[in-house]
Amino acid sequence: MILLWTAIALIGLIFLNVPIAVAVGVVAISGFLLTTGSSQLYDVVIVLYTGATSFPLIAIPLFILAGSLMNTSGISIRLINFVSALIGFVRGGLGMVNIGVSMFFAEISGSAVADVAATGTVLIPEMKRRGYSRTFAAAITSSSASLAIIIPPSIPMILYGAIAETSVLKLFLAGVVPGVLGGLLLMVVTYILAVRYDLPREEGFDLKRVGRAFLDAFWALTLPVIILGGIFSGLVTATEGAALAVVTALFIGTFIYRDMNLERLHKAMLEGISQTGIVMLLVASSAALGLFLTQTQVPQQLARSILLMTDNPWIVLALLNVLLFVLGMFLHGAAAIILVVPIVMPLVTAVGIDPVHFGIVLTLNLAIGQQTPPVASVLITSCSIAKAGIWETTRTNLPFIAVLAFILLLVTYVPSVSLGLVNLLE
Amino acid sequence: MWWFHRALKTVVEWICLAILVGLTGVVVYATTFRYLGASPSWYDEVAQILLAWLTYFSAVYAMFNRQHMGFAGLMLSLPITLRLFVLVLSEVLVISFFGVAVWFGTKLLPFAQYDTLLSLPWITMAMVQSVIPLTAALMIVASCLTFPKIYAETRAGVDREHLEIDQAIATAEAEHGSAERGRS
Repeated sequence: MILLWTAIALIGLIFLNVPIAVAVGVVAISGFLLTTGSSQLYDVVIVLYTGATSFPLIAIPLFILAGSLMNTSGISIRLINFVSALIGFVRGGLGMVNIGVSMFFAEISGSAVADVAATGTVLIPEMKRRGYSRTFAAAITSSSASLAIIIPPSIPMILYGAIAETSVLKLFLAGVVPGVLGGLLLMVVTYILAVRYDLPREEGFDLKRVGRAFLDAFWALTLPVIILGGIFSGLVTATEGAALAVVTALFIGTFIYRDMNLERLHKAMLEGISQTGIVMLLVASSAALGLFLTQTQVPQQLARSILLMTDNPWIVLALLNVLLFVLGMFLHGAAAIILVVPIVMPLVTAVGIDPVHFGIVLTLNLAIGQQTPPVASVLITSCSIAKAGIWETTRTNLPFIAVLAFILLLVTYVPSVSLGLVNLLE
Repeated sequence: MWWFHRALKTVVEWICLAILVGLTGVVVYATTFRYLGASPSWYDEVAQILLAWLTYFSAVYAMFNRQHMGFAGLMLSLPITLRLFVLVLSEVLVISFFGVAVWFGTKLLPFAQYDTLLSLPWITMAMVQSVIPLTAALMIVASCLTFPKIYAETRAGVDREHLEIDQAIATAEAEHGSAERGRS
């Protein structure tokens, strides 16, 4: 009953346009006032502080800053040129380039909007000029950008890791195969559609051009190698890897590409600060709601109620997929993680689902949620750049959403797709 | 009033920048010294405190820009009188929430005065946790200072998410333009 009233109050406040971070805090405070009285509000203030001190979360502002620095250092243009030289010769080449760039330029700045804007403003006008329909250009940009949150490093995975007390390193590893597989399948669908609509190829494959583009993008390409190589090899932790990303992005932008100056650095840092404030306030205030739910034993009661109906992990995963899909339509990714994970984790562990496996299932659901209006900032950004209608684009986007849904089902019911690499390297 | 708004936002901005640089510096310093075999004992505690301070000061900065995540779709579809009523109600809830944080946060500080950090005993928990009432008060001020603007936007039916998207696209286009000019 408490869970039901909590959910109703939360949804009501969110629909009243109360900022989600505040809505969460207001529900927690109201819950305490109605159940235990005002003395517990001291604890609320304490957890508002401790909720923002979880050590793994230090990686978040640093990765966000690194992403902002990359967005302002001309790295995206160089990656686009390189991927274009590499795979642009295939039919529907620019669609392929779009997917390829998203796989390299995984969403790490914390602002999906800024990341899509960085690549979309280059690729979408070019696609339209080359005869792609505006809805197709928007749809492929949006879907491939969403896929990026599966490929490490990923802010949603760091958030999940901190809240579910799960290894971020394992989550990053578990995201590699589904992310790459999803990218390849998106390319296959793009190729089929390109043949059907007779979409153009770009310049023919020229080894010299690839070489030139590779040299120009070399330092941009070393960034993921340095960051992920460092983290996966155990040389640095995820937090240290994030600091390494900041230093490397700053070094490359300033001394190699020379695109960074004080004004841009200032702008990139402010962008990083805004995104940090948005995500981290939500994390901190959700700790207050977490305290209320823990004291009232709501997650445990929910787990017991569902276990009375079924203890089959596959059915539980199916139920969670439905819940997350619906939530993804109305909540931004970070908000969905922060609100859902503390409530469902006891259930997830009770039925024996690996928390790393569930983390990837959750992240994939969020990727699909970014494609489904009304709350779909990535889709809306792509549509704004392409000047295409949101519902019209959603129809064109269906084959790409189907690919993401297929990957979700594959990851859900074949755990080795995500856990294989983790087990192999353990 | 406008000069006060701008001055306060600039102060918050520079505090955020200083903490972000400090946090990055601390992690880089600790990582380097871990490899040199001399991990600083204060690393974990200091980094966590900087994260908490960055969280709340950057949340104030985001409040000045009215960027906190929300769902305006339903509110904007309401008739204008009801829409403005919902806006005021939402604002009252925001101020009440941070008001609770100021009140109870301030009352806690005398107790936290007797507790100190383990690695740096000259820093009391009261100094560290003062960030909650301090930034909660700033949140209330930021909310009040930006209310007239948000009121006008809501009245005109402007969706802030769309505004931010347009701004991000314009920024990206400007970045690409200057990067291309720089390379040619």
